[in-house]
Amino acid sequence: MIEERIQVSLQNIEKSFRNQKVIDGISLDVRQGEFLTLLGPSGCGKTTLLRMINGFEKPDSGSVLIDGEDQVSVPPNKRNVNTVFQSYALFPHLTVRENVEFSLKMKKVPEEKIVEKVNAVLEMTNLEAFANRKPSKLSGGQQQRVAIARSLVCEPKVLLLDEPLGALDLKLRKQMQMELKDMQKASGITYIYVTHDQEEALTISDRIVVLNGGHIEQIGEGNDIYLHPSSRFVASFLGESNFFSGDTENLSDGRVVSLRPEFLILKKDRPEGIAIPARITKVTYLGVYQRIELVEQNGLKAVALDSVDSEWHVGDNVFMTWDPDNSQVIQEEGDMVS
Amino acid sequence: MIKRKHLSTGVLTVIGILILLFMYIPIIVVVLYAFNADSVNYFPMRGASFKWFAKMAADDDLIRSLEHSLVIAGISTGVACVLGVTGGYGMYRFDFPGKSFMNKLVMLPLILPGILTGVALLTFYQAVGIHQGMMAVILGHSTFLIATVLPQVYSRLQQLDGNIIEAAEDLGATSSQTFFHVVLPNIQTAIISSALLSFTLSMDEIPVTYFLNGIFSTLPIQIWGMTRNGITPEVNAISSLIFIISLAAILISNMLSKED
Ligand SMILES: Nc1ncnc2c1ncn2[C@@H]1O[C@H](COP(=O)(O)OP(=O)(O)OP(=O)(O)O)[C@@H](O)[C@H]1O
Ligand SMILES: [Mg+2]
Repeated sequence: MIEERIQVSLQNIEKSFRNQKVIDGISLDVRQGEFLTLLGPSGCGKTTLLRMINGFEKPDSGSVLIDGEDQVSVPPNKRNVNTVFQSYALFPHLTVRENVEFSLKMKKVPEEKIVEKVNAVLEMTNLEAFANRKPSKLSGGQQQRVAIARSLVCEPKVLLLDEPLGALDLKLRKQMQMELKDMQKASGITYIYVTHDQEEALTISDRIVVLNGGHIEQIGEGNDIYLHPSSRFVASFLGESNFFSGDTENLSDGRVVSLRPEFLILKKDRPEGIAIPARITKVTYLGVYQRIELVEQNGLKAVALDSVDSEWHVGDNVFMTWDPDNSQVIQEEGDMVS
Repeated sequence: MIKRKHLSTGVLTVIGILILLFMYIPIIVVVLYAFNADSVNYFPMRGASFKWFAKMAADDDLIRSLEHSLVIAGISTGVACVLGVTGGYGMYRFDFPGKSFMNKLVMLPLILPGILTGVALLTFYQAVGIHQGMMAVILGHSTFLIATVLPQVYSRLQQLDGNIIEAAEDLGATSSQTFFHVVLPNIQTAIISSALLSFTLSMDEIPVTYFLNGIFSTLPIQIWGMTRNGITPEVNAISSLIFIISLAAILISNMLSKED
């Protein structure tokens, strides 16, 4: 990613379905060869945004550029973009091999070329053994790989993946995440990946776009977003977070800070600086860590992670403190205070 | 309690068998009489023979009417399939106002009495200058056969994973490639099954044909004519043949429409 060419550019996209605004002014540049993840809760417009890029949906206003070219008048079958659908959408009447050949056959690629390319893709996706099976005779993970193979054989500039691992169990999910990431690196194709699983987003992506209600909350590298969430929504959607507002002691400037549980320190005696009294309501052991739930005098709840060798008990009265370097001031929207 | 239950299932079974007998005894009798050695229909039969089949085969008028029926059923089934499949696919892909109403409307010819359809078609054809005859009958049959093809095709399309159509386009297929390589193979059993059903419906259609045929005869009309002077064993022979062919067609049609 030394060369930062823009592959896909979304400019001020807006889209409504029956007066309901689904995409509310999104602008986004996707770099060539990057693994970009669209992360957001169900119904926030992830699929709709992908459908603007592959051409099945037209924006009400704004434009979609691929390699600098406006795509308004380019139909889906002429775009240099392929999609792995949320439901895979394999052709049930065709074998795995025929599914993978499909696009090349439609584009009238010469037969020897087809065989060569298809074999290469089947090998890369570990599907050679299943080449002559129908999709209905495959496991979820295998079907998923066929969907990817079928798209990769077209050598698209951009691959769109709509929650491709949503239907798989946890173990297979983890394994496929790695495989996908490796495949993406090897091919150098730009991936735009949709998920509502924050952990998956953090593992797999070069950059994450956090979406909420049709607009972008924050764009950045996973680590950066995790440590420096820009809003209460991002802080609580990506991992767990404590929020302390200005009316608690020592934070009298009226701002709200977000603090990850692992940075919340508990003390038996009142420490210097930040010190918020609280009572422990629950202790859960998580292997190396214990998770401690607390409640402040004003009723607000907090969560801390601590190593298991420190002894905490339900009912203990403690002081919460933290290193101000670890907390993140967030912009608070009036309607989001919970 | 248990005894009562046994009793009621026993009664139900008997009623079921009686209903089946009531429906099928007449047909069984016809088939049996077709092999009657005698020319008088009564039990017990005194011997079996194929002579009525031979006589049937030698009856030129009957054979000619059979030919007419086959041509009419073949062509109208073909026309109904082409129009029904295109219509069903159009309704599936495009949204337009009154679509669900149209879906119900298209079934109407199946429900309406044949007499009504016959009169309506005759009036209309005369108004636009289509004369009674083969052409008119084929057009008439095609019209009501669309009512069997279109709804079946449409409902099969609705069961399809719609994403495969978008997937095909996403992979670079044109609309016609998508239709022929993805849509058609996935609805072909529905098409074949409705074609078989259409063919049998056309083969034994009387009312609409009667209004439109003019001077020529189709098989059911010919048979109807032959029975005016009492049922001859020859009629039994041809009826048995029709029964067996229809049975086969309907069984195949059922099998295919149950598939996935
Ligand atoms: N064709 C459509 N007609 C009407 N409303 C639609 C249509 N497509 C999407 N919507 C609405 O737009 C909103 C966003 O839908 P979208 O499918 O983009 O969400 P998503 O982020 O992909 O959700 P999920 O994670 O559940 O897949 C939803 O409220 C949905 O009901
Ligand atoms: Mg979605």
